Amino acid sequence: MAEPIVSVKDVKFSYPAGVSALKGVSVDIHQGERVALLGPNGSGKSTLILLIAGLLLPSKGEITVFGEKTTSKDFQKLRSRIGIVFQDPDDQLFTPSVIEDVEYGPKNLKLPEEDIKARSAHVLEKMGITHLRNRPPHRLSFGEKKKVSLATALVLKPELLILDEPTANLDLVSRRGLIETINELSKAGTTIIVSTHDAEAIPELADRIVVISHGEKLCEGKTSEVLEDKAMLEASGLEPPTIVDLFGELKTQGLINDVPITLSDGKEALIKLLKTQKNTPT
Amino acid sequence: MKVPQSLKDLMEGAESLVYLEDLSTKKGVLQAINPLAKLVAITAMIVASLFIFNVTYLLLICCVPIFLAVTSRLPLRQFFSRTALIPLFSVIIALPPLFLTAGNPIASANIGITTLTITSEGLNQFLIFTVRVWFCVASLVVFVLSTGFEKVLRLFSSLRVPHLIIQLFSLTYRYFFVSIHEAQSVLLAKEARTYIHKRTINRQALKDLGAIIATLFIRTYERSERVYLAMKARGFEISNETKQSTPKLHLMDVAFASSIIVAFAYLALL
Repeated sequence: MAEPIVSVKDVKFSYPAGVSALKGVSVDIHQGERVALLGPNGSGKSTLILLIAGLLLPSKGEITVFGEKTTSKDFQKLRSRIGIVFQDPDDQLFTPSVIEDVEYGPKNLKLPEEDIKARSAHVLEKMGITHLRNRPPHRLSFGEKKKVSLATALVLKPELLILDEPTANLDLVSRRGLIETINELSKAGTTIIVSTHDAEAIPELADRIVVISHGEKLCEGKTSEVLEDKAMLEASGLEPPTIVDLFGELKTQGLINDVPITLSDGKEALIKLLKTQKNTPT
Repeated sequence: MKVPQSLKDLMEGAESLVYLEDLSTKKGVLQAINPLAKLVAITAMIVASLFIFNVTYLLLICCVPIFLAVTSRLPLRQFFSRTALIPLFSVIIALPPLFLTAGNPIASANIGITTLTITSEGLNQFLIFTVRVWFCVASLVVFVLSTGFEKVLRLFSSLRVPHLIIQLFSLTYRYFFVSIHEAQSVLLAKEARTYIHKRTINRQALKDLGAIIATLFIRTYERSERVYLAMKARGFEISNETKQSTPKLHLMDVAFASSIIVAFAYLALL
């Protein structure tokens, strides 16, 4: 198997106040993967993504991204390859206008002016926010801010995109749009790391899940396998998605063999089940 | 001008002050002028006012920022409320010369231990100072309201103002809103728990105010840390410098700046 692009080895991290956020976590993430860090609030997943992005440095252990240790002085050169979107867009947007925020990263990377203009125009169009380009970010709605936040990361054309609670506080339409954008990026080869406690959104966002609880890795595996493990999820303060919970019960009753994890798969499974029941003589 | 009577009023007032940036997008005379030409013209107006010592002329030139405000579709009520505060302080500064300048007495009042006399020279100095301050503030307010903070920063950048200073302005502007939003959410949380804004100052009110300010500081500090991380994630380094291109000047911009310079130079030399 190819070398992982993100390698987290026995990482421990404590905040200055003494709070131990991570207690020896190890994870490998490969090129093109969609990985979800799933855990309840305060589990340490946001800390882990800040560590992967090199914005925090581990107290112990080692993190390597694209073959470079995050503690290395040269790590700053990797900034253009790593995009990060924070949970709260107000943390991410700080310039007087949307366009300046979008151009902020490329300008810091000293890209040619024409390239910056072209990239910005493209990303604004892609996100459907061209009309907001001259608006001050603090005057936008939450959904608009979230789109702009994503645009500020995408403009760097990152190979690795890290998103902290991307679906939090979004309405259904914005949530759907965001998931579609993330999946388009994934199809184009971008590696996606999503930190979330929203188990409902995970089937559409990730192929693999790493469950983190109380600063430790509880388990990792394929999305379907992890989400079906109701006992483990509940032990870590989480719940399986409604669709998995419902069909899990049907599986326990011996009515179905496989548990669907997405709504569309669930619809198909339900129709199939009802047809089978209809054709079965009572 | 409405006097803020609580922290909530103060926050709302502060926010509305900066939210006036929408005015810079209106279709008015000054909004159509290049920011550089505007800056040159406003600077010329302010510098010229320093050489005008005739009260009548000073009062006359005060019509210019009012005229510019009207033609730029700036709401006059807000324009006057925002230009009144600083001149109020200048009145306090200008009060001693009003009574202490030697000259022809025009009025006097006995206040028990001493007699205060106003001289025509003192009154002249007082008026020159306060009217000039109002004129300068009004000119700057007209410039800022019709330009917008973002364009002002771009202009500074194109004029090669040190990057660090521009960044400081930019972040101050950003944190201004961050602080207001944090304060508003703290106040909202208080209100939601039957907190009532009392108009009187008592021990409990001061205690509440202290708690709000302390919480506000902590929350804004924590947010500033998160904003810093977001900046760092996009390649921020203190030494990084991004230059803005110089805005292009058109004939109308040059004509506007030139006419202001000539007119005010003439008045200053009279």
